[in-house]
Amino acid sequence: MRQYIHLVSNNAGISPMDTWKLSDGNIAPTTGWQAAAGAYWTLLGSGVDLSAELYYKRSRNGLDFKPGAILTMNENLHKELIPVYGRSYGVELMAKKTTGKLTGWASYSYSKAQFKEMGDRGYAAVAAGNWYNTSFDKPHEAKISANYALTHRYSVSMNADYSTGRPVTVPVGVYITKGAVHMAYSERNSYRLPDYFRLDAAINIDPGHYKKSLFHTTFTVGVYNITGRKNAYSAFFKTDEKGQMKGYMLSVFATQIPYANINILF
Amino acid sequence: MKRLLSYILALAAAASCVYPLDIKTDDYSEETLVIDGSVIIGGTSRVTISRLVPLDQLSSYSGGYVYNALVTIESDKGDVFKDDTYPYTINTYSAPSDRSYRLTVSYKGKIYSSPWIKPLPAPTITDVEFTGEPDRVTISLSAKSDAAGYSAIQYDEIWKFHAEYVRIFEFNPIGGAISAIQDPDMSRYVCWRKKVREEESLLDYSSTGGVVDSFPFAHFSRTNERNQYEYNILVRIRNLSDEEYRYFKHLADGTNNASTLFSPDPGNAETNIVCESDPSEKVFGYVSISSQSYYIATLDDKYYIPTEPSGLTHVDPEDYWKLYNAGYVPVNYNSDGTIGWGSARCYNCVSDGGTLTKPSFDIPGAE
Repeated sequence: MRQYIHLVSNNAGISPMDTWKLSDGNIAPTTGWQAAAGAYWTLLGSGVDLSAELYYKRSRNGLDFKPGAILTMNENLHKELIPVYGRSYGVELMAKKTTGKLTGWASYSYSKAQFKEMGDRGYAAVAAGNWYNTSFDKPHEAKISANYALTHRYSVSMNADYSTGRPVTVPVGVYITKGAVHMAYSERNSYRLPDYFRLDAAINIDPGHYKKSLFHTTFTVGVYNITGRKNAYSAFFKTDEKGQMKGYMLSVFATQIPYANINILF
Repeated sequence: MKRLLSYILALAAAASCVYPLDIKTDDYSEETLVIDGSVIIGGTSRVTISRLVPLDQLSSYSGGYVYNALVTIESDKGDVFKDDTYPYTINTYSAPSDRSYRLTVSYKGKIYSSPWIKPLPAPTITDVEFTGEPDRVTISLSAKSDAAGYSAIQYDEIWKFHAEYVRIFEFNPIGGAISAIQDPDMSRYVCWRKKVREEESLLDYSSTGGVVDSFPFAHFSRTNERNQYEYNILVRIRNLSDEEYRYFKHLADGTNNASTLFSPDPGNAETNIVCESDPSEKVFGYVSISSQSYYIATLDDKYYIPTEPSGLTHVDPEDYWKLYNAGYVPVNYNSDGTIGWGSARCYNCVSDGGTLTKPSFDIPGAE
């Protein structure tokens, strides 16, 4: 595999931002290989499909950035970047039921995605030159989507989504250097945001089954994030009025959101 | 459609909130060392050793300078300079500039060291000039360097100023006459003050071929006591390697751009100090080893507030505010109705840290 466009993500601040960077004279294309194997089978008579997949991927000349890099509107971005080895591996399990009153699917995956600096920058190396988590490393992810038909006209559905929190780099202390107080940070991506969890529920109404109708209308009434969990979208740190460093997280849709759908099928 | 999108965005904004985030951290102990070294070949070297303060111990922290370390500066040819007393100030005036050096700190049985560094030759300051603006005086320098595109500027100041409430002339509000007070006892009212700045300003002239012209690096208010009698400035400059410039810039960006769109990605400035016995031990700070040059300049006479009421022989009582504009304030009211005036912003110099004798600059090499 060869890839000539690179994603560089800035996770600082309240609004994380992605920068795309093309390969050029300073930035080599990412190369890599991947192996995957899977097994699939159907349980006869139950309408249940099962699958399991394993994968392993290695890459080189991926991009990460030096500590303290400024990625926004930086004309010399390549000076802030470091080439990295990448490795990712995991297993994905899935069960799917397509017949009967109860239909839906459930999946679970365990995955790791890590970087390691390619060059030897000595004491300046990120994570002392060892493997470290990428900012999109989320080892555990589980999803359930189910629909139960109460009658031909009414059904209820539910979605549950869980994943490990995203890795972050956090301030861990302060120190004085060159006459001023500065922040000391953890190793890159060595901490995590709180785990993500969301549960949605809905009632589906299918009022008519007229074969000769030009279009077919269904209604859905539901609640998004029914538990009202405050999932972290981003994390940032700032000093309060007492001079104490405090951590904050931005949570989007941090409460129950009711909704109604009208679906028109032709 | 636009309205629908607006509603969706408004809903997302309304349902988005910022909440406290409590992440327990235990990366570093309060024993984590911060070694801040500025080794000046041909000058005076200073090393500060302190400790990092974990965030969860900020409220109970009681200070953390390290007083009992042994600081050694050694060259690759065997020259050794040592100090084991806080503050760690070492005279390295006699250190030859054609050798590589490193700094080591011995503390609690461990050795912390910088890499061997060959000091870059110092840039040359070609001029230091003062520019007067209505409200302040700006100090600029011109310099050139053949060795690097980055420099650090530091400066010390010595100035002479009035003491508190000394009268130098009297103004009669009845008629507006101004008369100088003959031979006021100025001996105890004039002091000297010296200020040594540890902060360094960064200078990037990598894109101008190592030449910088009239770079403003300091300023003070026109009503400042520096404007009164005499003001001298000692400007020091030294070259920075790319790596050291990056360290300084990292610190500056983290301070100046915090919580902005241009926030640097969180991460520690890349130190160049390692613990030899345990390379995995985290150490903070940076050791710079460099040569420096300096330049002394004195403020031009035209910027001082006149200490005599020269040019002022009469001010219309209705226009007494002109005295304020000229930099004076009333300091006492006499029984005959006259008012004694003096320069604004005077202090009791001795009680405020001033000295009656003129201090000297710590010029590289001076004991």
